[in-house]
Amino acid sequence: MWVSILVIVTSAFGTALRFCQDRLFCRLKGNTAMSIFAASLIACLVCGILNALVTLVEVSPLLLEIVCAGFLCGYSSFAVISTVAALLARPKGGWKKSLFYSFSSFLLSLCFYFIGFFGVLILH
Amino acid sequence: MVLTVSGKQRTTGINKARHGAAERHFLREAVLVFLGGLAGAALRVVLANFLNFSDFGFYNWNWTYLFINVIGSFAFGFLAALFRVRFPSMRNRWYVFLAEGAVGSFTAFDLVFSQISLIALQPEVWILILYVGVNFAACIGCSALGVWWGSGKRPAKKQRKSPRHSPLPARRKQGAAAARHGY
Repeated sequence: MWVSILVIVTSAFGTALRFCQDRLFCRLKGNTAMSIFAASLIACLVCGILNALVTLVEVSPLLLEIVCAGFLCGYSSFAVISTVAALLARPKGGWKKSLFYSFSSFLLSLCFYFIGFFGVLILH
Repeated sequence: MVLTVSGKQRTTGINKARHGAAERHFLREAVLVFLGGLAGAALRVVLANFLNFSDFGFYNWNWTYLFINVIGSFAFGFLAALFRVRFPSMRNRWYVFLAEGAVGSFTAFDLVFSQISLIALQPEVWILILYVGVNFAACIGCSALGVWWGSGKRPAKKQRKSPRHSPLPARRKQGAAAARHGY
């Protein structure tokens, strides 16, 4: 019960942090696509590192639950990435941009996850 | 005694007031995102605890989070198109609370990759590729469907080729305008 409450609260904090980051990127670059991209990469890297640490019994699975299913789930969002990709495809000929954005964010996130996971395992 | 305010001082005062209003607006939106995030995360936790797709067991696939991500992608696409494209004059607060907060917190991106690492331990590589492809295609497809539905755009109807319509400039103009707006 308490773990679920912690997951919910940390998830809301993660969402608020992403919102603040989006506004900062919007002020600096004029759009939020790069902010969402960066958030997904950071979330996957941290998730990979934590999964490896749990595998090595360095941290408790409870921390993994709170950080990965809580904070990082709020911080990175599948819905936002796929909607950015769908909205990029709206203008004429925008499908190339959309496809490039979605493929790169998905594949790089996968790479970052494995870099975090195997990086910690190898360094250990 | 007469107090005089110079133009520079007045401009500085106006800028400070504007800056303060923008800060308050930003803080209000951040609080709304936090509240929406609480609601979305609570819904995700409840669904993850109560939805049981174990009957559809297929190589450690996490159907619950796939379902959550698909629903969330559709909802975010629909809300983004509804508030940003179809009715841009509607209040931003609802968009911030529902889409950025609730739906943004509802979906889970990193947990999909946690599941991918579990599937990657199995010898069949095609299962991993299929899982990544299904997640990717389903979420982007549902998001595109939500954007299409939320924006309310329909493909332009073809003009009838009867000679009665072509020579009238007013009708031609009307048809061109409809095609331009996507109806």
